[in-house]
This record gives sequence, structure tokens and C-alpha cells, in this order.
Amino acid sequence: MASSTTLRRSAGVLISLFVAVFVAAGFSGTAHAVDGYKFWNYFHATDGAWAFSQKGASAYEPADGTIEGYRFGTTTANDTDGLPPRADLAEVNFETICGAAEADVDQKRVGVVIDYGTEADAEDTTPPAPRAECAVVDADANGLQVLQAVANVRIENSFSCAIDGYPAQGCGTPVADATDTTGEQPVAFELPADETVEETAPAADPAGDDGNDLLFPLVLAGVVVVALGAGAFALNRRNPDA
Amino acid sequence: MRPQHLVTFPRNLHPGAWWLWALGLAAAASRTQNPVPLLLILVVTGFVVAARRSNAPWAKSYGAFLKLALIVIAIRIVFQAVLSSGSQGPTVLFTLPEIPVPSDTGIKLGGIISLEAVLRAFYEGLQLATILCCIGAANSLGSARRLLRYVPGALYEIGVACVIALTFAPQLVTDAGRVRAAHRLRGQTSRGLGSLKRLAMPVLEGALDRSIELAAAMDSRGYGRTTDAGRVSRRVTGLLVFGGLLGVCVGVYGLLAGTSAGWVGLPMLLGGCLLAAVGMFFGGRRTGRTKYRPDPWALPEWLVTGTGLAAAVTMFVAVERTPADLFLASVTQVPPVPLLACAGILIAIAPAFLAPPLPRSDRPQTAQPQQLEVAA
Repeated sequence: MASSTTLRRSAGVLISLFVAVFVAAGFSGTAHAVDGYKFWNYFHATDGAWAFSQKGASAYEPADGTIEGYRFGTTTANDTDGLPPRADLAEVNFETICGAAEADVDQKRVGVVIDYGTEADAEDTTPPAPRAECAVVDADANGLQVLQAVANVRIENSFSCAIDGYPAQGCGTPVADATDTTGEQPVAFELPADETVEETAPAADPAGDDGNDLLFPLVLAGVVVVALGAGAFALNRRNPDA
Repeated sequence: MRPQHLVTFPRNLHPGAWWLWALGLAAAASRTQNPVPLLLILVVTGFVVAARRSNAPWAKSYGAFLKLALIVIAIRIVFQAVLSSGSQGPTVLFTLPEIPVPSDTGIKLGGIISLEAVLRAFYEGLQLATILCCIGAANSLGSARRLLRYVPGALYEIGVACVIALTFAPQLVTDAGRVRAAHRLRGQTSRGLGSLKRLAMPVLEGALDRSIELAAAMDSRGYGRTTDAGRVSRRVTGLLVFGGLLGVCVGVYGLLAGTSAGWVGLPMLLGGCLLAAVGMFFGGRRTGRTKYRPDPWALPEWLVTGTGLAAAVTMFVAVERTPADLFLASVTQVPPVPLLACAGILIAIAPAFLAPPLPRSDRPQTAQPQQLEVAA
């Protein structure tokens, strides 16, 4: 009897120690392992250089003739300069982006530079080619509306998580052992061709073009939802107790 | 084959099976913001509830949860589309008169309402509403009260306390009504803060009286605590159970949030389950309690649990394989139909046929017998 109590007691002490270590490791681990986050960095081009935006895109109203930059990549928690787009502002400037676009009196032209980042920051996929577009929007449009005029934006809880479905999921994903990237070489940006600039071009929708392929499963799903809903309603009517 | 293994033998399904089934669907709903699978989950839960609902008072709670879900969607749309500038897009629906607020706050009052913001708010609200309806379905199919009978022995006292609280809560409402009626008979107003004070005293007094009576009754019937477990072993089991449940919480968060480091999810969950199970095993050995007419865990229970789990697993696989179909890149595009995820969700409708039918006494009364009674 006595031996079994001692055994149980020592086992208890061991297990409680294990629990303590387990829990402590759990919390300290989450605090230390995450040094960086992967998200879309938001920039303004001022005086021929990129400046990390101090405001969210929805709280900033870009002026006519300016350039907005977006760059996806890993930034450490204590980095205040952000990760700028790898665009050479001598080549990618307002003239080359918006030179061919025309705006009405109550509209403005804003260049949008989108850099999808490096292979290293992509998870098992190839990031799309970086591109620059000219947004022709209402004169009082904010940065988010400017961006949405040229690209699809996935917004979760008022945070811009993905541009054109990149990355496909996640938002501000924590990255372990992140390092700041500096001194990147500029890359070539896909500029809008002269003749294809459209007025307030809504984001090109690669999946929406083949409407029939997409519509059939949707109609099928709709029929299933309606049928099940009607079935549930009929079953409920049969049991008027509720 | 024993009768409880037949899906046609009328009996009440184990409430734990209903809860696991519903939690599987809720986990699936938490991994997507595509309205197509979300609506499917919603109608699947509604259909199964309509097919296998008993006549117990809690069985009607699905309707209440559905109403709550609609309110959640409405609130989400109002707050996100009308009061926030964070997700406004270029497709302006209409413009309300605006009261200027500093733009740094991210708050706005009135101003433009865009299609993108309304749709985004609707989709996010729909996700929360669907999870709520899953919980509502679990509650109306296998009530929380019946589930409390199966709390492990280590948590026996907590279980008894919860059962008593659940039993007395409706009594409290009746009490309040009685006291109010008495006030009105005496010509006192039953509105305002003063009446609340007058109401609280007699209701609390009545509750205290009843508790003392119940405690005496339970004590005299041998419910008093007579376990001879040592202090250390009690503390160790308490610590194990608590630590295990903490691990389960962190693990479930890691698994569902989808953004934290990998080991926070499944390993933490399994470790927590193991710890809690060990703790409950040792704690449960202290006390031998009887169970009154326990529900068996037979083939139908496995089938119902399995279908819920299948929905969750297919959703997680679908998120891995085609994340773009489940997290919409743009709200204005026609939502794609993720076939794999939808097929998984449709499997979860099987309990409407696989769960055994209810015993005749527990079935909701149909209209005809009542009319016959009136005629007789």
C-alpha cells in the first residue's frame, strides 16, 4: 500500500513536471519562433523613391499622378521600412504606366505597381510576374479602391490579405527565423501596352470567362440547396409540434 | 446482431455522436468563406434536425439559433459595410450623407456603400452564422443536458452542479413571473430599475431556499462526498485534467486558425487529449458511480460521427489542394463550386437516414391523433 502511494506520488510529480514543461514550451515557443510575417507591404512613390506607407490603403487618398506600390514578402517584426517593390522608378514611372490612359474631369489617374515577391516567399507555387497598371478612378477614391480597380483583393477583417488570389490562403502568416532582405536587384515589370488601357478596367477575371463551365456546378449546387431546404421545411410541417 | 446495431431499431442516439457530427461540420465551415459550401452546411444541418428532432423542449432550439444567425449576418453587414472603410471597393452602390471622422481611425459614419464591402461582410457573417447553426443543430438533436450524463467520473461534481443549474434556471423565470404578478396585484409598477431591486430579493431568496432543501435531500440520499482519495492524488489528477484541457484548447486554436506554427495544431491537440484522458482515468477510478439507462455506443453512433468527420476531413483536404476555391480572391466574381468539399458536406446528410428513428413516445406529435383526442 505504502509503496503504491509513493509510486503514484512520484509518478504524479513527474507528470506535473511534464505538464509544466509542455505548457511553458508551448507559450515561450510561440513567442520566440515567430520573428516575421508574410504580407503585402504598401508603399507610395515619393521623389523617385519608395516610402513605406504609414497608413492603411483604405485610410489614404492617393493624389492624381502618383504611384502606389504593393510588394508581397517577409518582413521582420521590428522592421519599420517595409519591403519595397523591386521596381526601378526610373523605368517604371507615371509616364510609362499611365501615359496612355485618359481620365474624365471628375476622375484621377493613379499608377499601381504590384510585385508578387520572390520564389522563396512563395509556398510551392511560382509567384505571378510583377506588373504595373494604371487605375482610372473617381477623384475621391482611396488607396484600396484604386487597388481594387486593377486587381482582385481578398480582404479579411479589413486587412488586405491577397492580391489576385496570391497567396491563395492565409493572412499575415507568421514566419520563423525571418531575416530582412536588403539590396535587391530591380526586376522587369509588365507595363500596360498603349492600346489596351481601358477606362476603370475592372480586374480581369481568369475564371469568369468560361461562364458555362462555371455556371453549371453553381446551378446544380443551388438546386441541391433549395431541394434540401424545401425538404427540411416539409419535414418540419409534418411535425407541427415545433 | 444486437438490436442497437440496427439503424432501423427505434431509440435515442447517443448525444455525443450528434455533437461530434455537428463539430465536424462546424470545423468544415470554419475553413472556408465560399458561400456555396457554407449554404450547403446550413441546409444539411436544417434537414437532419427536421428529420430526427424529438419532442423535447430543447429540440426547438434550432429555430432560435437560426434567428440568431440572421441577426449576426445583419449586424456584420451594418458594422462592416456602413461603419467601416476597411473593405470598400470601387463598385459604389449608393452614398449616404457622411459625418466626417478622422480617417486614421478606420471608422466612418455614412458615406459610400460599395458592393464589395456588403458582399464581404455577408460572406464573413455567413461563416459565423453557419457555425452557430451547427451548434444549434447539436443542441436540438442531442441536448447539452443529456450530454452531461456522460461527463467522466473525474468531473462528476462539476457535472452534477451543471445539471442542477440547468434544471433550476427555468424555475427562476417562473419565480420572477410570480413575484411580478404579485407586485402588480398590489398596484406596484413592474417597470424601471426600482422594480428590478424589488424583484431580485424574493427571487434570490427562493433560489437559496431551494438550494438548501436540495442539498439536504441529496445528502440524506447518500450523494454526500465519501471518497477517500489522498490530497496529492486529487491535485495531480486535477492538474492533469486542467493541463490536458489547456493543451486541447491551444491545439484546437492552432488547427482552426491555420496561421500558427505547425506543431501548435495537431501534436498539441493529441498531447492534450492524452493528458486529459490519463487524468480522467485516474480521477475516475476514485469514484464508482452508477449510470441510469445509459445510451449504447453502437454502429449508428459510429456512422453518424463518421459522416461529420468525413465532412471535416474532405474540407481540410480541399483547402490543401485548391485553396483558391475556398478563400475567394474576389467577392464580386461568381463563387466557384469546390466539388470535393461539397461532396464531403453532402455525406454529412446521411444521419437523416442512418440515425435510428426515435421511439414513438419521443416523436413529435402529428396533427391527426390530437384531433382524434378532441373528437373523443
